[in-house]
Amino acid sequence: MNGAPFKNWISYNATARQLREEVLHAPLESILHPSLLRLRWLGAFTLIGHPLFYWIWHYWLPQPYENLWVRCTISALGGLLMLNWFIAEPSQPRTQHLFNAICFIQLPLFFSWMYVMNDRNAVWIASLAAGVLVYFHLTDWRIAAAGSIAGFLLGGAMAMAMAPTADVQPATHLVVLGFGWFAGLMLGISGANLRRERLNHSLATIGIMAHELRTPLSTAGLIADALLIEARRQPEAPRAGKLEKLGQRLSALTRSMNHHIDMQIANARLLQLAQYNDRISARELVADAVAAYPYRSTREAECVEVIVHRDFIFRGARTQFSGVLDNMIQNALRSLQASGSFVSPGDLRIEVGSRGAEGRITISDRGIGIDPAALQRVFEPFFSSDHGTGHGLGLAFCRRVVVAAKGSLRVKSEPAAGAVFTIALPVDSPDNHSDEKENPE
Amino acid sequence: MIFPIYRRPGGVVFLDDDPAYLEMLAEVMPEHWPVRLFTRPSECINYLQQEPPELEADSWRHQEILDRWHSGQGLIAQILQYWREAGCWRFGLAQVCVVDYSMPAMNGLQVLEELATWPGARVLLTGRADEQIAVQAFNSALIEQYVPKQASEISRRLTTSIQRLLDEPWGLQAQTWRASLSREQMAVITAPPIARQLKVLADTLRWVEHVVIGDPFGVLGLDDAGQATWLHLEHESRLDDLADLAACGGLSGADLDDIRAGRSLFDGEFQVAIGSDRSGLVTAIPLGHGMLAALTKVPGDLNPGPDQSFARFLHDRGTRPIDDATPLRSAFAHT
Repeated sequence: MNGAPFKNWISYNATARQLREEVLHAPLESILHPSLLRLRWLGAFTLIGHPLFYWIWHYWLPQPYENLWVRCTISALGGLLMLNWFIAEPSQPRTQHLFNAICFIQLPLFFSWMYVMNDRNAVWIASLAAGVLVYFHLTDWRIAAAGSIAGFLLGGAMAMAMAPTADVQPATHLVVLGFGWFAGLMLGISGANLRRERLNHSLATIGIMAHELRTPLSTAGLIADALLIEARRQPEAPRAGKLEKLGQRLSALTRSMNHHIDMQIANARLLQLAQYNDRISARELVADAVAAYPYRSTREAECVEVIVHRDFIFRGARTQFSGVLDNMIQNALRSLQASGSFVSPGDLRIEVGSRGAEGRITISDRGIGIDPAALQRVFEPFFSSDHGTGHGLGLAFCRRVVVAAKGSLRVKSEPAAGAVFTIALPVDSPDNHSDEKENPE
Repeated sequence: MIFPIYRRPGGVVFLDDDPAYLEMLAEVMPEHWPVRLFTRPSECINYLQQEPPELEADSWRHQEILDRWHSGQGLIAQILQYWREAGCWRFGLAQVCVVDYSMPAMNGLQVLEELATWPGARVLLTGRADEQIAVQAFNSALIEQYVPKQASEISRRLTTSIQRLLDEPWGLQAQTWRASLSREQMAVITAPPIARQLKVLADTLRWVEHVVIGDPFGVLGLDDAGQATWLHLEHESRLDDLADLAACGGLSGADLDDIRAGRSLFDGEFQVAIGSDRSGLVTAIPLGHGMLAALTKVPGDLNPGPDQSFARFLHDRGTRPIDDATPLRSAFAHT
């Protein structure tokens, strides 16, 4: 088959493009709605549900087969979901893999296995179909679709190996199961699509707001210039010095607002990050960001301390990474301000270091810290621990950018003792020459 | 560094849908720029489109001066006459227009497309998001420059960008005036060190308009108060000829030695050109590369005078109103 026309078709056909976007490019959401409460409920449900159903199917409404040990194991796995150390950072790959494994084992795998072990009876085909639908509600539809099929095959094969039966699969069951699987798939896709559309709209709104602010702000910038010009025109006038000072204040203010607006516009594009492959020096990145940040006071500027243990080079989008540093500095400064005490040098420390193939930039502050309940969600778009001033896009943006550069962004925090954000990035070895495209900016 | 053959002040037109922004622009742009402000694209387009015929008529007057020179009339007297009679509205002919990209009715590039026949330089004001569009427009030569609106020190950036465009020579007129210059004369004024010296001289004399001519060789300049000055240019190798000319003009002895030594120049040619018989010695200013210059003020009545001056023109324009589309010529009908 000739590949070129197909490729053309894919790139020009809007539906195909949408499909490709949906299937390949949309980020995986291993845990749908990873709220603390939801995960706890899920854990409790599993923990209690399995012994309960063991009792029902074994004593009250006996079914051909039950297994207490398997029930207890799965129930224990569910208990994991209630543990804090497990769910504290649901955006960590470790947590997500574990969650995926638990879901896979207790839903498609266990249910398929039980279905065959129970002679493919009506109770278990109904349970299996319901389990598939639940699976689609818990995780990304792509994981659920593939996971359920893998579960059917594996669970079925395991059961057949343990208790071979000559019975063939009743066709009616296949239809019921197929119906459940398709319904789950369709609802999963449309749900994912809806969530992304909503996010896109909210982000677009922020972008538009920022643009609208630009117009009066550029006028304000000119007013500052006019004040300065006026002050310098008559330097000997008694109030000229005052006028000059006011002009400079206004000028600095508009500069800082422009800086923040730029940051918000960049953050609001978090779903459409352009892929670039600049070679970035971590030391330079940090130095530039610290120098360019519009501090509100010299005191604030002085509290930032940069320590370079060992510089490293990594690959990523330079402008986006400046945005990441901006966000980090802003968050830390806000947290310091909220702590109420006077800031002193070293209250915001940015360290650059590398060991082997991993480079690290850590941003630690001695601010108010992050509440443990909030800690696990800070990387979600529109989740903010700072209601009233923040809308919670910054860290979501940061994470996207860092993950796009094959790195990871982690946070550790003790309430009232500050927070430490760690950006870990793969070091680009010097012999890795730039045959890839460079950021034209 | 080039010293343009012909130069005069040009106006700057701003188009932006936000009157507050325009008002502040008017406040921070240098006072010696003739500025016009528009909020509505259609009015701005209409205003600028009535300019090319005016410019054409003006260029035609320049061409006529040279045509008459070919048939024997001197250049200096004709140029002085042109300055006295042309009307100072000519200073307001727009040379640069600055257009905001994002406007509700039509975007900045659409406005510039409508202005295809207008000959001046184009600047686009952009937001950060439109930067890509601006780069494309620049690459396809639709605009000369783009300035991001939220750039820090926007007024300084705008001023330098626009000043650079205002300093560019007037293409059509420069072509016309080139005809009076020989190849050697062209080589002299385009040599960078000499061009630099000439620029410094023009700035110290506060010239707003000047023409480089080849017969006699020199620069006729007009300052902002309407006083004209003749800058005589002479090469060392021709000092002996100049001394001979001075001898014919009645100079002798030490004066002729001064000329031969390059300490003074003889302004006979210029005095004849303006119909005066008071020729004499003028202190020579060395420009380097063997070139000498000397300055002679144009006497009294031959000058356009304060009433026809650039300073008067700026004063008469007064404040910078928004959306004032009165044609230049009728606004200065009395001049």
